[in-house]
Amino acid sequence: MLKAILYKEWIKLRWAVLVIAGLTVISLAYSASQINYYVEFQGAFQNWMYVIGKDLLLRNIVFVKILPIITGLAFALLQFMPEMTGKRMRLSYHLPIGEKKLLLSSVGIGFMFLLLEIIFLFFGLWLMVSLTYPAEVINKVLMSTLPWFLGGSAVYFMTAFIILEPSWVYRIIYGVMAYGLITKYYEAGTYDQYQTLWAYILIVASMPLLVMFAGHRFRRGSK
Amino acid sequence: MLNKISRYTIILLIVVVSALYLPDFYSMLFDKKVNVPRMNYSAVINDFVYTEYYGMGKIKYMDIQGKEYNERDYFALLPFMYYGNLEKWGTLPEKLEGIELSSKIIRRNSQMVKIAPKNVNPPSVPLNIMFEAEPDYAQLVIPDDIFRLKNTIEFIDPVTNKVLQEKSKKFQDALIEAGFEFPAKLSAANQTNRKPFDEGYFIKDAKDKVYHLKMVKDDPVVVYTGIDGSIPIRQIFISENSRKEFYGWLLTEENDVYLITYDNYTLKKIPTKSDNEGQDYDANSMNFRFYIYPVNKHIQISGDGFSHMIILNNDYEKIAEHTMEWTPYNKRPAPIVKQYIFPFELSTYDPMKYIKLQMDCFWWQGLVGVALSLLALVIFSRKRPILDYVIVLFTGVFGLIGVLLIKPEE
Amino acid sequence: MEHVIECKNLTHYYGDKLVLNNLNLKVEKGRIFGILGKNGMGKTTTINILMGFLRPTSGQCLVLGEESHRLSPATRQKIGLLHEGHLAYDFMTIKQVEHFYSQFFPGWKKEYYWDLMKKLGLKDNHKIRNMSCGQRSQVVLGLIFAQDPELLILDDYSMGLDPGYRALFIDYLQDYVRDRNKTVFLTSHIIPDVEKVVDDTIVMGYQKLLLKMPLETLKKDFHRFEFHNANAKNAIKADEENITNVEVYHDKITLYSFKSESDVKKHLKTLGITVDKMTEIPMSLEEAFIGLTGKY
Repeated sequence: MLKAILYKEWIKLRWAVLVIAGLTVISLAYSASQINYYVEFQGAFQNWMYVIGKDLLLRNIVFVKILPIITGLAFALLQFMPEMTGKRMRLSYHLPIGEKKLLLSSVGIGFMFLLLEIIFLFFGLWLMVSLTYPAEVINKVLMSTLPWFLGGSAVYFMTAFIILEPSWVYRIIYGVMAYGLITKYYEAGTYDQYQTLWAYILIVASMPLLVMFAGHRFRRGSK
Repeated sequence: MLNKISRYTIILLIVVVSALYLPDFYSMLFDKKVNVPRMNYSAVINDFVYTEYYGMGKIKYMDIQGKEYNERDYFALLPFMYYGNLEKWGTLPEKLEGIELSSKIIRRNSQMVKIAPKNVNPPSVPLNIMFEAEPDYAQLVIPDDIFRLKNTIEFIDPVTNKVLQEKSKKFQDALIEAGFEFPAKLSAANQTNRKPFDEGYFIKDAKDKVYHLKMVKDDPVVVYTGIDGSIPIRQIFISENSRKEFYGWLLTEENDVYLITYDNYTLKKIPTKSDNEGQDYDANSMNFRFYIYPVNKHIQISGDGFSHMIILNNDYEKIAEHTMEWTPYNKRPAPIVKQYIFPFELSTYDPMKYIKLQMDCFWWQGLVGVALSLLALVIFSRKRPILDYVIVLFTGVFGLIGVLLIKPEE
Repeated sequence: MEHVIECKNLTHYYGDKLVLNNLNLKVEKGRIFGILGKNGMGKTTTINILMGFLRPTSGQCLVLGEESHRLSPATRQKIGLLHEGHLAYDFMTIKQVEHFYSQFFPGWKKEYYWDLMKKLGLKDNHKIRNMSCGQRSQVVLGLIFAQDPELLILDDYSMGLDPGYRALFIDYLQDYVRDRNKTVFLTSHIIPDVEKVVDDTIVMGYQKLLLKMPLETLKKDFHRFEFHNANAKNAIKADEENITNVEVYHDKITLYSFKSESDVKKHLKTLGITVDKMTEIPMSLEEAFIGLTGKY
């Protein structure tokens, strides 16, 4: 039955998975050519100095911040909007599979695809940065992107949560909550500023529980 | 069961969001600006003076005896700060304490040392540049390689991203020969070419001994400074200055500040303690400034609610000391009320330039808000699960918002 | 198990608004039930509760012996639902949707589905999103047939269907249910269709159940009488006992009743009304429905 759910979610997500992967490749290629340009025109040393001292690379790879947000948003919308328009979720709830299992597997599958995109992006970035810069820079840049990936995951779960919630009042409350939480993943202005990410990981890890709550409320016809 | 857990998870996240933002909103709405006096020491009257701001652009000039000055008279009290203006007005005294005064002399004999929390140990990429200490040109020349210093010293060519084996080995050997033991625990330099000359790097080795490394005519020069683990070094700051009194200064884990002098690297301790409780220098939260003027030296330590000044003569003997206090943040009306409303506050701001989620508990005062929140819950909303009350008991108004917004699902 | 559906003292409020008041209903196995009711009479609420998407404020509703709002997956396997508006996963194609559903039902009978699809004459990779309402209704029906459930709940199956597809739907349904001992519970706005297919009728009135009886019995026992009497028009009131409904048009009075003509006349006499000539006018189910619930 999990296979069937995977099949259904894959049908909804497959184009987006490809488009995002394509966007990732394009962004990486663009960013790589930009770095190439800088190195050519500023000189390798000067470029390194900008990268080390002036966070140049962080400004260069804004797409690493944005792509997981877009992906999280797109996946949640594509997965759950078709379920919620015309109350199509009722079809899913009547499937002979437990409510918790259904919801957890749906968000689990969506999150898995998001994770795949993130891993793809992460390794692409690693490859791109390591072409030009030494280990110290790679390390700092990759560490700087971790909160962004967590932020993208938070966007995914919170969007799913808000879509599944049946009441508009609750949706607005959750929207405010989501904004407040998610902006906290994007506070860094320079390399590797977060001292520890545990609290941030814990918050994202708790989010599937929220999705269950909204799903349960929908199921019960709560207002 | 699961739905209860889910509901409380949402409530706890609402608590987190409200504790992050509500106290902030409160402060933005109600905090009032406090006029902080700016203190200084006048070598003319040998006493402390200060300015205070009253509203837009209105400034009051005072000395601590209570005498008020007009602007020009006040500037005249501080020739080492306002020598430019005084010279223009023709009021710069020709001599003070036997020392001739002119812009040029003052500039040449002044220096400032500064430690703020945000530069004690800021996030940075651990790659460095080494200047040629004796360049062929008038100015320092930017090199074309970068080095890493940890388990070894390695110079890297930014074009090929490869280690420059020969140069690296030369430096590595020189360090080892001087007795340096890898890995390096700390290295400090002033990585700019906008300075009169270059003193290279001060590096703490595995045994906490500090070595001085610089590059002269492409060759490494390594000197053991004699500074060792007997003082727990937290950070070293290097600042090349034409006065050539000290290479830089170091901060210890115990918040002591020492100058590393040109006198064979002897350390000179700068007083940082105060007679008042809670006003000893703390590098994590206070600003430290050390001003060197032709006739004396000012140490200024400022924190929340106070500024402490110690004046030394040119022989580093204390000649005067004064503290000015104003209401610290947590004793002002709005923040006091805030502590009664909210049981705690979450923030991610860290003066050390990192992002750190931290909680600030308001304990006793906070209980008032908790009690009121509980009362509100009992009065306006009966029949609730016990856990709702427990949440409000621990999180006060934040929990109240959570449990009221998210109703229990049966 | 005697009853496929059993509702006891079902009461539901939307906020302060009472929509169902102590509804009791038992549905026997192996029959087709048509549930009729005017808008706002709690028909949708009842169906939502039966389908498990609404938990009643109080009372209980057992479907195949389990409370409808927490049916076990095993029981859900035995219930086929047609949702209002022929809900379907419209992002899937004809083939995908069959492949998807087949994995949930061990007794999946794909031939039922593909038989219907063959008649539809669309390509396998035709997206449900791009179908007409009628075509979609066939897909949904095919899926329910392939599921081979014991109980079929069809909510407003006729909505959006043109007469052709409506007839087709009824034909297939009758064909499928015959000899298979299935229980069907359906609602529709188009009563003549219902009349063709149902064994039993359930009529919902304001907040309550008006009647539940076999269609045959309703047709046999529910009468419409017409007579002319200018003086009687304010004297006759509907009551539970004798007269179900009264319509007055000038001096023409129409009475609806479960009593025989002579019993009605007797009752009128006790009210002091003598009627010489009273004609019984035969009714269709639709007219009976209006007679039961009133025109307004």
